[in-house]
Amino acid sequence: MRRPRLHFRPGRVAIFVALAAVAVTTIYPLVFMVLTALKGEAEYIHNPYGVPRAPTLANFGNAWTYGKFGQYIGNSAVVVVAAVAVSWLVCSMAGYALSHLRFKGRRLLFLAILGSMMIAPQVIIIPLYSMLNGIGLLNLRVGLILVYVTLATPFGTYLMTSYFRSVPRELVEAAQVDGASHFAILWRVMLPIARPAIITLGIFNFLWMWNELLFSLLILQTDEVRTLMVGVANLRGQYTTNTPYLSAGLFLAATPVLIVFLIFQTQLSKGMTLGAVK
Amino acid sequence: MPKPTTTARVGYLFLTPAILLLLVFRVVPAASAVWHSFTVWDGVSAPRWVGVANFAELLADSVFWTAVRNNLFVVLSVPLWILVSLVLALLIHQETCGWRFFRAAFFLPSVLSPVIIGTLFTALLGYSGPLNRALKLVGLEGAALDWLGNPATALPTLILVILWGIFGHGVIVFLAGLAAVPDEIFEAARLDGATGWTFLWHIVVPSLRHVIEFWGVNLVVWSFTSLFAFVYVMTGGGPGYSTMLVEYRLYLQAFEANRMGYACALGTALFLMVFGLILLQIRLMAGRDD
Repeated sequence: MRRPRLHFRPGRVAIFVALAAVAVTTIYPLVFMVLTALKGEAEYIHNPYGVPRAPTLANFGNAWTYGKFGQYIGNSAVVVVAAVAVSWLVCSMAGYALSHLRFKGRRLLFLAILGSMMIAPQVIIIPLYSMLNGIGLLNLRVGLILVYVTLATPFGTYLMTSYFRSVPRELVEAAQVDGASHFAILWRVMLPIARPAIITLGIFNFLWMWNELLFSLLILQTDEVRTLMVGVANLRGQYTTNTPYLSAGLFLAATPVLIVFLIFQTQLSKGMTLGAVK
Repeated sequence: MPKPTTTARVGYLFLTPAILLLLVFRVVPAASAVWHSFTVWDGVSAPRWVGVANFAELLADSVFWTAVRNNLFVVLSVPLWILVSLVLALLIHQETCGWRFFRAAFFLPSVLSPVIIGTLFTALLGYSGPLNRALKLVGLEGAALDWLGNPATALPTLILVILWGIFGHGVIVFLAGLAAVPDEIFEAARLDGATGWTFLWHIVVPSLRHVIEFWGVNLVVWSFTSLFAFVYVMTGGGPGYSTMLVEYRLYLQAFEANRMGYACALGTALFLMVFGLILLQIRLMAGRDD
């Protein structure tokens, strides 16, 4: 696709330099993180900026075992994978009902689901915490999974409903004539068509759930179930002076999202701009 | 073909998980939070009804007002966040040499967790950290401040770090907006000789009005409700109360001071502050759908 070339500014070179300068500020901190993670603590003191002269993987090993990052990554993975999967199911079903099934109060329910976003998460943390404590879901991963799925529901339902609306009615009607149940239609007709929306929703959810701090901090407090971001946040107090070790931990925590970013950049930007442009 | 009544039943059935989750984990806790804001409660023993005492205390609480002022200071920086993202998006949109790379490079920070961003920058900006060491190396001793440890610089520094984490998301949003603007509009402006700020203000801003509105409302809501992790990791609300935000005060009162009732009142106040904004956000997102 050709984009318009505008000539309203001083010069291409100046613009290139400005963009490059901003790019340096976004990339350099990450490069610094990687280079520092590969240095020993002693080398970092003498050589904070340069390429490591004696590269070592010891910091990663220490973070993985002694820092329990291996365990935290496992906990985060369990929570996020389960929450993403359940959210797919919940939001697809709701989206299908809201886009292709006619029933009383459909529009009202759609607005109610979206409207629940008005309740900012911070407002509910206290009762939610005490409720999960009361029903014995505190310090259980399933508690956090349920909370994540709930938080993902309004946006996910909105996304799936908008996408399903673009699927022609005739397809659904044809499948009904063939005697397919609504669940079969959702599973075999709608979901294959809605693949892009499914992928967008999954990646978007993976990203914020993996990165989330507040709820995982409150709901999963014991070490056995602690998630990665809480582990990272705790690093700060313990190892502020050991920057290489800290950097290794940060690199381990950032790697999954960086991989997703590199593979799914397009879908990610679709999910993150949804609702902005009509 | 299923009868209409069956269709309706399936409709309700398919919506049940979503509605049930939202009721149990969002609506009921919200109602409970409002109710508890009229009580003294430590989260363990039975709450005791005290009427509006919590709200009276809130209004007289100088830390609360400091937090509100800090929140408003963050909101005041939102136009800057919008401008930075908009100008960068515009420059990329012209397909400057290497634009694909720049788009990816700017987008990169916005996929990282605030926890990672905050921890990384706390290390970079430490008093004897890499930034200050570099400043001293080039002879700028005076510029080597205790960025996050000094009440005067802590909040602006925090805001800049948040900007670092978020501007790329804005760039992506504005690029999506620009892609939807017909080429002819910009071409015509170019032929008319519109340049620089005139071009930005009179051509770009009007064509992207809805996107700017959408993004602006999003940012304001975020600045009230999504900065917890940055504060938790970077400053803990300090030094003093210089980076205390309402949501962080709520967290501390609830989970450090065990004053759940008072914290619920803070939550209710926060809800009232952002309620209208989020309503606007939802309307911008879904309103033009119908």
